[in-house]
Parts: sequence; structure tokens; C-alpha cells
Amino acid sequence: MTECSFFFDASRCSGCMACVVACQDQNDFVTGDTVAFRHVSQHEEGVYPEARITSRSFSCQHCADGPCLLACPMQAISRRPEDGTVLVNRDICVGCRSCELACPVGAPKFPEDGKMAKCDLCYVRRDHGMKPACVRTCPTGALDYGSIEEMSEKMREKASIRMLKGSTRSSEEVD
Amino acid sequence: MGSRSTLSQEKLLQAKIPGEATGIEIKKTLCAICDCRCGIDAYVKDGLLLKVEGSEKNPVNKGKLCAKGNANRQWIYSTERIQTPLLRTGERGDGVFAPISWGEALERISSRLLKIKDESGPESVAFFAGFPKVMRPFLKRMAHTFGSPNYCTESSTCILGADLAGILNFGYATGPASGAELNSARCIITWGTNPFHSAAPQAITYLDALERGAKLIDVGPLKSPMSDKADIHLRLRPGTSGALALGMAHVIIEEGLYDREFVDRWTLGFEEYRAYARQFAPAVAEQVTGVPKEQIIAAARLYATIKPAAIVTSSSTTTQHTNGVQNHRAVLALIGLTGNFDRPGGNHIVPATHELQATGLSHRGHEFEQARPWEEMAARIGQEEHPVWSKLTSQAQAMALPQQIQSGKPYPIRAVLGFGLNHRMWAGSDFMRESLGKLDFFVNTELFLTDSAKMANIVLPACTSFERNELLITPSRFAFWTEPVIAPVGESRPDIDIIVELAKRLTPEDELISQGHEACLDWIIAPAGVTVEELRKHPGGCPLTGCPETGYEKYQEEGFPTPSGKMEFTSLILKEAGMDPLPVYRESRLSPVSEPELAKPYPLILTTGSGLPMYDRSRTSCVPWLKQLRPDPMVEINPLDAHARGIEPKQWVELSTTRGALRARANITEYVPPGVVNMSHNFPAADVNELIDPNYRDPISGYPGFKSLLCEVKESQVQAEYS
Amino acid sequence: MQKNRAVILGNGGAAISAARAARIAGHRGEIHLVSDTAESAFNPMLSPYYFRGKVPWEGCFPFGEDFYRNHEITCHFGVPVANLEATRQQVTLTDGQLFSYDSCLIATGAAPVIPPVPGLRESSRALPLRSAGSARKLEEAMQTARRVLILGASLVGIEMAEVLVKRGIAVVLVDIVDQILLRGTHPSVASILMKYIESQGVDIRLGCSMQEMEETKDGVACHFAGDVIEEVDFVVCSTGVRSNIDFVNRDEVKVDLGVLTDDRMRTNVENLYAAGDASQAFNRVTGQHDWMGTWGNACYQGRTAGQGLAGRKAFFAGSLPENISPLFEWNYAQLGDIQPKTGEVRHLACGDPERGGYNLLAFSDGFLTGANLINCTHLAGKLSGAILRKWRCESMVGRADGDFTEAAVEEILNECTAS
Repeated sequence: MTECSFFFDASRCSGCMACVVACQDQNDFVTGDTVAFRHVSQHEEGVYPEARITSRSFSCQHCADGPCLLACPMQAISRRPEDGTVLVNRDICVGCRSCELACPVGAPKFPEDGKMAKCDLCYVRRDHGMKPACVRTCPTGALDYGSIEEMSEKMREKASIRMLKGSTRSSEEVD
Repeated sequence: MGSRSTLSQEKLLQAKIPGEATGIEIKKTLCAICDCRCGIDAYVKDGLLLKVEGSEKNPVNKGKLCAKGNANRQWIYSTERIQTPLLRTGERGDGVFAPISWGEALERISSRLLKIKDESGPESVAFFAGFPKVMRPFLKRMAHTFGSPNYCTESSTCILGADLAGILNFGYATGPASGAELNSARCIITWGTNPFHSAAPQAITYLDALERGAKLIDVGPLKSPMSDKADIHLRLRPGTSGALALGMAHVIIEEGLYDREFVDRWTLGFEEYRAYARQFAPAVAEQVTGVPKEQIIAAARLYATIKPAAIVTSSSTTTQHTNGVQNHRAVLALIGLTGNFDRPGGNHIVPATHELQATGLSHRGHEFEQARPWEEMAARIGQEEHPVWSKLTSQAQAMALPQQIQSGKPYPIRAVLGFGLNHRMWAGSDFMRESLGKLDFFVNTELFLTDSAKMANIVLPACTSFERNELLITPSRFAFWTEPVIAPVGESRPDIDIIVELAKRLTPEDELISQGHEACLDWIIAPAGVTVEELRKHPGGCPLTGCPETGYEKYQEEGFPTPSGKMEFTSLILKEAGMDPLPVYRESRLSPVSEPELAKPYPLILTTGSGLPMYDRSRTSCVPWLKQLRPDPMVEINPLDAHARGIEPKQWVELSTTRGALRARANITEYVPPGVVNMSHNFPAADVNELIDPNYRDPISGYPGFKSLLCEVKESQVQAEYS
Repeated sequence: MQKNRAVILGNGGAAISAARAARIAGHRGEIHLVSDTAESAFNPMLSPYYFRGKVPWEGCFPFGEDFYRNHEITCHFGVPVANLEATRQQVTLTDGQLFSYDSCLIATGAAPVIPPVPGLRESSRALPLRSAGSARKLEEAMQTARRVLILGASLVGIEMAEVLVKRGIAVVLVDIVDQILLRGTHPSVASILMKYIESQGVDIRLGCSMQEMEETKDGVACHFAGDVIEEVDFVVCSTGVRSNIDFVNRDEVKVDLGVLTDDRMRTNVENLYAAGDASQAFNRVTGQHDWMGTWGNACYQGRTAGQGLAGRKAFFAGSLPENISPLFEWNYAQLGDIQPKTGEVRHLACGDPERGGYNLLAFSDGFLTGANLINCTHLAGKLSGAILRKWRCESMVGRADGDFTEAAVEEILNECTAS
């Protein structure tokens, strides 16, 4: 498996929300009109004149040890062997929302059919040589996608904030 | 890169993969929700648009799209799109209309307008173009051929005011961003502009410049992504750009950092300018603007000593004040002062083509549009009140339209033919709406039945850019002729085709326009050696080659196109008009300094209309994906001011001025500094322009002072959403 | 150090997760799995979805039949454990077989409690809902029923009420306590939910104690105080579950409601682990060892224990009580400790179930301890995170509950769920 992940550079994000809407435009056959897989939040720190406003774009982080994988009673959530993309099998999902309870970033969404849907890292697009829709549209290049090696190299180069893979409640091995 | 998957056709279609397996084709068009006009790859199957993406080869957006661009499908296919021509059967504003055929609509419109022309003269019909801009040359031509001088546009509050300042200083319309050459400037001042939100796909140019090591100075009251990245943020009180620019001029002149050679040889009135700037020592400028003097000095030195340097201006932030044009002149004057005018890496003046696009190409746009000399027509709307505007632009000043409708002076306006007219654009927008109600005949062409459209006698359904042809030539001379990628929705038609059909009836003697869109464009751009037919062969656009580049320092050969032949610190045109020739600083007429008594009940400075990245004013207010990003109207207020008033986050508050009040949710944020309140335009039912007096205008440009007036904010009695 | 023979007692989420984790962690020796059931692992929380027609019967066995063969597990199905000698490291089954083990996991789950009401336990018309067998019995009984009494206004009870109502069967939901959903739901929220459930056609009676039940010709008659008699086709028993640990010697192994474990799922006896509904692990909200019976928890604990069976060190820091469930057309989640026992306890609520969702937050000395969410369950995961990382509401000190407007509570919610 070549582990892949999103790369997010908070220093470039302007909170423009293009990623949110690009994802909806890409996925609306599944989500209908209202549900969005990606969301952007704004944070303010400090007070005038030293205040800072930053924006962050979030979606499913395709955790290496996602709590949703174990939480699902139907074993409907799994990682793709090629690249670790976390996918839900909507054919067997019953809409119990156990994953919604387990996910620390609120990635599982529930469109009108009641079954879980979420960011699938545009794996079908990637299989056809295209980028994830959010990455493709990001006007400032804050969002990127690639192998862990490539993205780590990028991080080293730019010394920016990266979204961490992994959950807050996983078992850890310690030796 | 992955290998071709063996997914089912259903999964491929769900993922919208273009190709033979799904039958999805990629067709080229452009987005016209805002004026950037980004290149679009439209994913189309069986005539249906399934997805949009930015076109990578298009130099405007290089494959990127903003939130609005990505929402094109919901906009185009909105169930609220007007499907047919409509005839109003109810009262004005009720929204009760009956569908009629195009034939009937065109017949009614033309016969009525011809009758009004007969009774009251052609000038009693005003022709208005809102957005987009592509149909403007056609509308202006038709208006003048018809005999009316009263062609006016949305530029009555945008870009042309800045151009006026450029013409008064340099004789050139400086154009959008004043020709700043961002790819080579080593110091950039962004003056009241935040492309990260107003033109998202172009913002990366600034990130690239910063990575290259360029210095960035950002001027503006708001805390934007631009100001966060700037080396110096000059966070000034709204309306004081003139004082700040003069403060910087003071430093640059007194410290001898100005370009002496340029100033000595190529400017008029430098001594008067220097004497005036002396009044704006950094301590004084600090007192007026609120910017610490150390920062003013540092910024002035940085800008004046790093070469080359460019100032990026906005189409509205410095000009939408009662002292707007003079503010903007003071800003632009710095360019000449430092020797960055029309020089590489500085502000490069590239003349515009017929659509205000700075391409420098030869064209016959002016002859096409100005179908009749001014002398043969009555005075324009706003001509008496705003003589400089009328002298230097070829439009009427639409801000004077409602007053003329209501007063009938100097002559009555009985009809308006509008293309995307939105009364909310006017200061005192309720007054404009009321004035529309006083017309004998009002036609509006629209995508949606806006509150303005509801005032019309007849509404005509327009096409979006995806459904029509359009010509775009960018400043980098990328020429793009678009073909429709989907059929028109309902019975909608392209604006230009509507104008051509009307022209056949209103101005049958005009043979050229009756030949249609393409023929006219060919006529206009013939001098550049470009034809539509040739461009059609390049779907998605192509770079134009073989046209001479626009040179630098054009003044060396031609002089400046001003009355004196030089850059004018002291404008002879203004002097002749009885106004201050220097770029003087005057307080906004509603400021804490100019109206200290009024500032007691209204202690906060209101600035309006700042851009939100997912909206362009109220244009996309009906799009669900965008609306849910900000479902309620909001007013930005600083935590200190909110706390002092006991206002809590998201609480419903009342924003009031001397003219009126509205309800919005409090967005408590450091985006605005203490003492300043901001409200944007994305929520039509909470229209902040209703709170501004229609006569609160800059005498030179006629622009309303949208961006600085006085207000108060307090908790609202009604804590409920708008229904 | 590799151990040779691992014995797993149980055949639910914890047991299966442990078996799988042991193999992945490299355990090469035998794995024996002992269960009182005769089929592959069943997930009890799926029964209501089966009854609603959302999942086929086979889907309720999420690991499938091949799991055991694929993971080389020797199965002893249909043979419950008789005795566990923890110090001697051996286990005896009811058919007499005796196993010594190198490591053992107690993952025998929990079984429904039937209250000691005369006539109830013995009746074939008292139907609990837990095992696959009990689900099959309920399905059959529902075919011909017209009126059913549900004993116990728990989540399971309410879910069954919905199933029955939607099949056109009249439902009386009864509980001895004064509110529905006593475990984990605040009284004010319970009251909102109760009104809603009643509006969906469920007859709810609280503070009602069943005194006896007697068989009738084609059903049962339930006797309540005040001479109230309800004649129904059958009674659903949803009054809670109890850990299946009768075979555990309490002199040897530390036990409370379930077998007590540390953060590696170890019991107090060497080489003996416990996980899932049979165990009682660390509650990170209360700081106590509390019984928390959820599928996700069981799987995490099982996985941790499984790694231990394979001789690896693995930790599971503990969990918080949490449940999420559709209730008719609403979605409801309860997490953490909604009625903290220590500190200055505050509750703040805002919203509307039908417009954007209603939520109630519980605080102790300003620290967020729990939440009840109606139709805003998208906040559940983030609120859990905030509770676990001990998020504190700074603005709480010195402000009365009445000072908090809707908008202020919303703002607190935004702050603690800010990613």
C-alpha cells in the first residue's frame, strides 16, 4: 500500500470555501443538495491590534486507525488496499450512525436516504489520473494530495501545518 | 497515477468521469458570475451540465475556481430562473406576471418606447446595463442611435470612478488594479483590495510574489488574508485614504525619496503638491487615519526605495466615499511621485478595448458605441450635478437617475430599458425602487425575478454565460470565443441577441447592429486582425500573436494625454470645473470628525459592501450550496464594541443610521477594528443601502459614500430569523 | 514472549475482535473460542434494523461464517463455560471438557435481565431482545400480534416500540421509574423525547410497577397497581442486561458489575483478560470503572486484549458512555456523564429538535462532561472529543444559567467542537 493523504497548508488558506462547493458539485449525485463532505471553519486568536484570523478546511482524514472502522456494526467501512482511502459500502450501511458517534471530526454525513456518505478522496477520479475535486479547485494551493513521502517532503520544504492522520481514541502499540 | 479501473458504468457516472464509458464530454466556456470570467471545463452529458471545473490552460484562473464558480450548476439550473418573457398583470412589486411570447414582448417594448420617444423625446428613455458587461457596447450603440444620451451602467458606482482619478492625474484610465505588474514588482501595495475573496483564482499571484521575496504593504481597515500576509498593514479609518497617501507623500518628498527626474520633467503642480503634503506630517496623518506614524513612515520608505514597486487599487474601496475621486488621485499620485508610472514592474498603463479590458489592442469600440456625438443629444442624466464625470466618461451617471425620474428636471425620464438592473445598487435603494414605480414603462432583463424585476412592466429572461456566445480578450491577450455548452434554459436568450432584436425595431436604420453579435464584434476588433471565425477554431481560447506589445513610458513619445501634456498634481480639468485641482483630503461628510454631534448617537463608522468569497453582492442569493454557508444576514462588529453594548455572538442586532435601520446577526470578529462596523450585500431582504441617503455622493464622480458613514448597533427587540 | 494456547470465552464483538487482533499481532498458537451460541458472531444492536427491514438476516452476522476458518480458530459452539480457575489457568466447559491455557479472554458479553415479577420469567411470552435466537422468536411473535407491552423504557425498548408501531401493532411502553431513558438522558430531554414518542402513537406509562403476569388463552395479562390489567399478545423485556460472569470465581477475580480491567484489558489475575460487555473498564469521564456496553467499545477492548493474548503490549485508555439511535424520525445521541456527581454541576441547552436540533450540555466545575443531542448528532463525535480532552468553558464561572442566551450556548457549542 502506498499510504496517501491530504496535505493542508493553513498559511495559504483564505477561507474562500471553494473546496466545500467543489466537493458538493462533484458528489451531489450521492449527497443531494444539502450535505457537504468538506467544511471550512474560522478561528480567531488574540485581540486588536494583535489578532489573528485563520481558516481551516476539513474533511474525512482517512485515518490510518479510524474509529469508524471498528465502530461500524456492519463492517461496512474499510480501507482501500492501494492507498488506505477509507470507504463506506453504502449497499450494506443501515444508517445506525455509530460512525457519526465515533468520528472526532464529524466526517460521516447522512443524506436523504439515511445511509452514511463521506469524502471518498475522489478515488475514482484518482484512478483516472485526476485530482480530488477540492484539491483541483483550491485557488491558493492550500489543499494538496499525494503519497505520504511526497507530502512529507512538501511539509519539510514549507514548514506548514499538516492535518494529522489518526484518531484520538485508537489503541497504540508501545514496546 | 492509477490504472484504469474496472468500475461499473454507474460508478463512473456517479464520479462524473469524462469519456466514452460515461458519455460525458468536456466543453469550454467561462463563468460570468463575477467580472473575473474564469475559464470553465463544463462536464456535459446529453445536453445536461453535470459538473464544472476550472480550465487549466486559461491564464485568467489557471484551472482554479472560487466557491461561486463551483456553484454554477445550481445557479444555472435554479428553479427560480425566469423561463419566458413576462408581462406584469398585478401591481408593481407584487410579482404577478403572465407569460408572453418573445414576439409579443418585443412588439410591446418597441412600440411603447417609440411612442414615448415621439411624445417626450428619445432622452426620456434611459438604457441601463448591469452585469455582465458583454452586452454594453451594443446597448450603448442602440441607445444613441435611438437618440438617447442616457446610457448608464453599474460602472456608475464601480471602476470608472477610479479611472476618473487616473484620467485627472495622468490622462489615462488606469483600469482595474491600475495596471500593477505583480509578476515583477519587488514591492507591492494593495490599497483597499482583497483578491483572496473578491477574485480568488487570482490570489495565488500574491503568494507567488511573496515567495519570490516581494515586500507587501496592505492598506485597508479590514483584517483580510492579504493584511495577514503583509509586511506592513496600514489599518486606516474608512474614508481616510487620501490623508494616508498624502502622509506617505510627505515622507517621500521630505526625505528626498521621490523620482526627481520624472517629477521635474513630467509633472505639473509639484510645488503646490509639496506644500499641501507638508500639512500631512506623519503625526498628523496618524491623527486623521489612525495608522501609527512609524508605520506610515516605514511604508512610505519601503515603497519609495524598492524598485520597481506597484500599487494595486480596487474599483471601489477608495472611490466610494464623498471625497472618493480625490482620495484615489492622492493614491495614484504616489505612483508618479516615485517614478513607477508606466514602468516595468510598476504600474503599466495598457489601454482598454471595448469592454474595459486592458489589452492594448487596436479596436473600433468607441466608434461602434458612440453612434451619435454628444452634441446631437440632450444633456445626460447627472450631467449638471457631476460635470467632470460627464466630461471624462461616455456614460450617464445612473446615481442621478431616481432623482430625475421623480423631479422631471431638467426633463422627464419616462422609461428605462434595463439589462440586469438591480435597484439595490443605489444608495437609498428604496428611493430608487420607488422611482422605478413612477416610470411609465420599465423593462428589465434578468435571470431571476428580483425585487427590481418585480417593478417592471415586462421582464425578459436572459441566458447565463454557459448558454450563450461570448468574446473575452484578457490583459495577457488570451482570446476566447465561447460557444454555448448547454441549450438556453426555458426560453431565455442571450442579452446581445435581445438587444439586436430590439434594435431591428427601435433603430432599423442601423444596418451593422442588425447583422448580429458576431458581425459587430468582427467590425470592432478588425484593426487587431482578429476575427470570431478564427477564434472559433480554438475552443477554450488561444494566445493572440502578432499584435504589437503595449510599450512602457509612452509619455516619452506622446506626452501625457492631459491638458498640460504632463502628469498633473494639479488637475487643470478640475480647476476649470471650479474644484480643487490638488488631490485634497476632505473628511467623509458623515464621519466622527466632520459630524461630531451626529457621532454621539451614531458613534460607529459603517462600511458596506466588502466582498465575501462565496457571494457577489446578491447575485447568488438563491443558490442553496452558497446560501447555507451564510444563511442569515450578518454585520461584522469588533469584540470591544460588542462587549460595550452587551451584544453576544450571533445575536440579532439592529444596525441603524440617520436614514433607517435593519436587523442582522452580530458577527463578532476582529475582521473589523474597534469603531468600525461592516455589512456585506449578500442578503437582499437586509439591504444596507437603504440606510444610506441617495444624495450622499462624491461631487466629482457621483459615487455614493458606501464605504464610510455613521451608524449604531444595538441588541434587536426581535430575536428571530427572516421569514 | 509467544504464548501457545489462547482461549477466548465468548462469540460477540469483543471476542471476534480479539481473535482477529491476536492473529494480526502474530499469535501462531491455538486459539480456542468457546460459546453458548451455535452460530457465527451476532451483533445485537442490528436486530431493530433487521425488524425495520434495513438489513437482511445474514447481515446481522457481520463477520460471516468463514471468519473462524480464515483465522484458524477452533470453535466450541453451543457449549457454555462451567467454571474458570483463574490461578490454575484452566477452564471447564459444561460438556466436561477441560482446557488449560496460556492466556484467556473473558468476552462472554451480557444477557438480558428479566425482573423478578411473578409469572414473568417462566413465561414463553416474555421476550427479551439480545441474542440471535431471541430476535428470531420476536420476529415470529410479531407476525400475529395486535397488542404488545414493552417492559422497560430503555433505548432498546423504544426502538422496539417504533418497530411495533410501524407494523400496526398497538404498543404500551411501561417503566417503573419516572422518566424514559434513565441511563444517560437528562430529565428535561427525556420529557421532550417522551412527548415526541407519544405523538408517534406509543402509549407510555411511567412509575408503573408490574405486579404479576398470567397466561391467558392466546396471550398474557399483565397486572399493575390500581387494578390495571393489560391484555397483550406478548411482553418485550427491555429492562437492561447483566454481564455473563457467573462462572467467574469472585474470590479470585476482581469483579463489580463486570470483570474489572486495567488499560490493557488485564484482570487482576495474570494471563487473564476481559473485554466487552462482560468487563468493566475505565470511564474517562467519571474516573471510575463503569460498565459501558456498546459495540464499538467491545471491539476496541477486544482488539486490545487480543494483542495481549499474542504477548504484545497494547493500551486502550478507556472510553465514555455513548449511544446513538434513530427514534422514529428523530436521531438521538447521549454521551458522557449527563448528571455528574461531583463539582458544581450546570446544564445549558439550546435549539429546537425540528429546526436545527436541540442539545443539552452538562458541566462540572465548567468542564464539559456530557451531552444529549436531538437531531444534531453531527456534533456527537466532536463533543465526545471535547469531553475526553476535558474542555473547559471559561465563561461559565460566575454566570447564572439564565444569563446564557440561546446564542451564547450555541457559541459554547461552537467553541468546544471547533476542530
